[in-house]
Amino acid sequence: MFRSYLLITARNLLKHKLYSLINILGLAFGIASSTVLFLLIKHETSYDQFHPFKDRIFRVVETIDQHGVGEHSASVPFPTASTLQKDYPKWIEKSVRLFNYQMPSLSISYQNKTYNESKFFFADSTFLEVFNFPLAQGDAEFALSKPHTVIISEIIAKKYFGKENPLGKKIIFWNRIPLIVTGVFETTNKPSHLQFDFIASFSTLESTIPEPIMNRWVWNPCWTYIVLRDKSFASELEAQFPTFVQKYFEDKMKDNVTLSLQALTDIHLKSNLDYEISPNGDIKYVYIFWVTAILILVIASINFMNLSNARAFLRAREVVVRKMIGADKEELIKQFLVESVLMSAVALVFAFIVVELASPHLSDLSGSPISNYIKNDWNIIKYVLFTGLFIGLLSGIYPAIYLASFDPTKMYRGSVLSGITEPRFRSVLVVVQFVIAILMLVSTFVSIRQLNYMKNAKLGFDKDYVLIVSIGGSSSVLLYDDIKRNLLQHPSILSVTSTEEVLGNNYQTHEYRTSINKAAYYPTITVAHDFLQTFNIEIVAGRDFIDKTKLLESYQNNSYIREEDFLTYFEDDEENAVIINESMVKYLGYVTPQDAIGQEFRSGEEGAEKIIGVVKDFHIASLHTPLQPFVIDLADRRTQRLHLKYVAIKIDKNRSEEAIVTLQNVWKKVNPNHALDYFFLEDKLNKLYMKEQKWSEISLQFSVAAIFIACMGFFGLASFIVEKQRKDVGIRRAIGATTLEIVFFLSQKLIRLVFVSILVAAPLGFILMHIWLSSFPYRIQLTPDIFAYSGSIIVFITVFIIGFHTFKIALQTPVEAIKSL
Amino acid sequence: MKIIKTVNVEKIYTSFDVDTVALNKVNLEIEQGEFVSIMGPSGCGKSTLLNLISLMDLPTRGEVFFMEQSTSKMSDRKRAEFRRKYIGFVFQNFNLIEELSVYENIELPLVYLRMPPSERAQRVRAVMERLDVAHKQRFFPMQLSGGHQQRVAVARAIVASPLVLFADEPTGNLDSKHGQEVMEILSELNEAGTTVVMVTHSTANAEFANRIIQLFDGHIVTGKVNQYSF
Repeated sequence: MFRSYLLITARNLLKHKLYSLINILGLAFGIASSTVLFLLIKHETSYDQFHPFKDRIFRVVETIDQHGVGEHSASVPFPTASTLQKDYPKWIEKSVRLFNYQMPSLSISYQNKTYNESKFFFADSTFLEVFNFPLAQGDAEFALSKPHTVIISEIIAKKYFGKENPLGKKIIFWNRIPLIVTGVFETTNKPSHLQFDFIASFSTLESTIPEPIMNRWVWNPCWTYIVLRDKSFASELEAQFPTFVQKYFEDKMKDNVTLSLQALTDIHLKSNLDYEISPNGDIKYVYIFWVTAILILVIASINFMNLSNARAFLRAREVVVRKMIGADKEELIKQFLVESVLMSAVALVFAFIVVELASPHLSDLSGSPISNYIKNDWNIIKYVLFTGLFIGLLSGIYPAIYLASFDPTKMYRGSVLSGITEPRFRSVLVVVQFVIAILMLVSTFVSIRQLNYMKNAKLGFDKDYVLIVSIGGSSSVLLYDDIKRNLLQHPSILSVTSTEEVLGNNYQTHEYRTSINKAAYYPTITVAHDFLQTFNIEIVAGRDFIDKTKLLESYQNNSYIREEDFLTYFEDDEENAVIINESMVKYLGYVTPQDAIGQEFRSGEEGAEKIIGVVKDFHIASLHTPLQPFVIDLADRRTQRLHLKYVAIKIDKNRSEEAIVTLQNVWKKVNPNHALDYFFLEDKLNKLYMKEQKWSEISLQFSVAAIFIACMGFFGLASFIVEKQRKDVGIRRAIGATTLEIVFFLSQKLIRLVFVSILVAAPLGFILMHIWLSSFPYRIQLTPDIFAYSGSIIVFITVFIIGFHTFKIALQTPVEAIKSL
Repeated sequence: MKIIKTVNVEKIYTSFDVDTVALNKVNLEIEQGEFVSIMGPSGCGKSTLLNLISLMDLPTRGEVFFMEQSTSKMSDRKRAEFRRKYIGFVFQNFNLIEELSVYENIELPLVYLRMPPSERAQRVRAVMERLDVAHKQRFFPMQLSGGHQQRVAVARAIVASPLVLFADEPTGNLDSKHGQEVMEILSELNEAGTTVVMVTHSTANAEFANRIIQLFDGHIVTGKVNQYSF
């Protein structure tokens, strides 16, 4: 019997090649598309799953909150790890800290070359005990046990030492601190939120950072992980944190600090704190991927069902004959199910090929490649097999029942087609399929618009034609004044300043004392002179910072500094001035910006700063966060080395190439031993929206896939409906209908289905997109044109498909049309 | 044995709230071994009657007995089993499955009867020899002439040795020579003991039967014994 099923399936597939191809390819694309999404989901959910203690590892995080202002930090003060372990030994087995001076990169030299390395961390010697990062070379037990030791990645080993054995080689950190390579990490593709190329022993820092800083409970630069003896202790430990904070944190902030634990395996998808060690994913997108994958499978299944049904009329005679010679319903259902599963098996082969071809081009939400999964992962292969066969079976049930239930008495004489009624359920399926396709189109339009909105939004400062050069974490910062002076001698360079963080990307918090708060931590951008000018930030009250070392003439073009300001002000702004934004004015309770001018804003007990200016609000971080009060503080010469990490250079937009060459030349002249790292601010800020960028790309790709699959099903269905009405067409032609009238007659039912789909999809899409957009503080408006475009695309495609079928039949002569049945 | 018996059988089709009486209180008995022709003008209910007595359809009212068993309450599966075991069909338009070869078409009823392959092969070969289609066994229906297609259809209908062979206009699509051949085959089968019930428009074909039932507007108007058939 099974042989008979196989035989007839194969012959049917070959006989109706186009239908078979459409049916199989539709399912194959559906399975392949959903598999690609499941690969992404698997990748996103597999972060840090490979550590043996993964369920017992937690990160300690800190929230500083003063009436809505403060920070949510992924890192905590230096002494937190050791003190926790000392106070709660029953619960905590071990701990590890990672530290990188909160610098975007740190300078490493070997022989005559110096590089800026962004994945450099100091870590406690327990690093390799807590995390499972195997060494390709070196002894894990001792690799970090001594000061001045470092473990490097295989990539770095190759970059620095070529084919030489890296073990025992000496590299220099920050031009003066020697580090001996004691190990090389094995390269693995296992995803982790910890991305590093260098892990140096934490004990090295004892010779570089003064002990009082290492023992203070204020600065919080250490990513701190603890291993609990049992994961159930997490809540008990967290319950002790308020007492712990009160006991150790400094008086001025302990009432505002909250510590909490974050499960290691939650970090990648559920954490979105300040100072994350690397860009994270977002659980929201994992859910969206799930829904998309399922919707695509639904479309593919419906497609499969509709095509099988559409083909049913071709099989009607066979069904009837089989019934008459004794096949019962169950047997026929079995036969058609076997056929479905066999077809899906063929589709699976195609799906595997598509996924294999696509996988080298896959990247996750942060843009990292995730290739080679399918070959290496038996679970994925099992998933694809199971899904394919399950979909084949599921999609086969309805057509099988439908086919098996043909009433032979109505058909076994005369026209076979006339006996087949078109089931309403199939119309419902078509509507569902188009609703999904329209929803995916709407989602694509909305996500692309939202992305463009965020990328092109007015941030309150100029981000175009601003070059950023990294100088933090190296001796380059000491050369800032030289670099600036040299750069400004060239006409392609319009203005130069320096900042603590990349403006619009990130910020720090610093402690200030104001008229309303004894001491509080405020979002701060520490800057050098000419900051407002470089970024074209508008002042609404007061003035810009004045550099007393400059001549009055150099402020001729700065409308925010009046001559009398320059001549009558004898103090140094570095020590005595801050500028705040409009939101800070409101936060501090002043009625107008002018009221804030001259008010105290002291950095620490001895600070003497006053508010000298108020700028219009601008976005100091991505548009994922709302506007907030912040401070612009001028770095003083003493702390400049610690606070200034970037040079920002406004260049002439018509001479950008010349400006880059100028920068390279100046750098070579002033800082010849150090590699130049620069980027355009706009590019950096666009990366803030990498998740949205990836989602809009994915949404677009999968909308196209969904529409493609849906159209395949629709193609078959249209063919069926048109074929069924061939005789009617002949009669209409005979009594004088024109070709267009025939096309209209044939298309109206299908077009109606498309319009029903649009009516259903529009409100549903509005609600879903409204929910998605509401997670953004700054978002686009959902305008009717989005739905109009989506609907129009579907209408256009369906009209094209219907036209393809109907014109063919409408152009037949009446005699041909009637004879063909 | 009365292989088929109908008691006051009625069949009413309802379409757009309009009832059409296809059969009206039809009483009919067919003995085992008979060759019965059902005749009548188009729309008189011939095919409807054939559907009911071949267990393809259920009457609106009345009762159909097959092998003296009431069929009105039989499950779909049971009726399929009866068709499998006791009934063979020959159609006007042959209704061979185009995707199956001559051999596979003939074999199909035996497959549904779950007959072992060796026995199937034996039976199929025998019936192919009998109907002179063995040399075409690897052909597909589209490659055969109408006459050969009908021979294959008859072979398929009789391969399971049914008690009753239903034929619905079996020569309708054949030329007179091939039509004559098919009628002779049916006649031979009947002589060998198979009950044959045939719907036909052709008086000449009807003459092969030993009883002719005339239908008109859903009624049996005559059920005379064919005097020429003996």
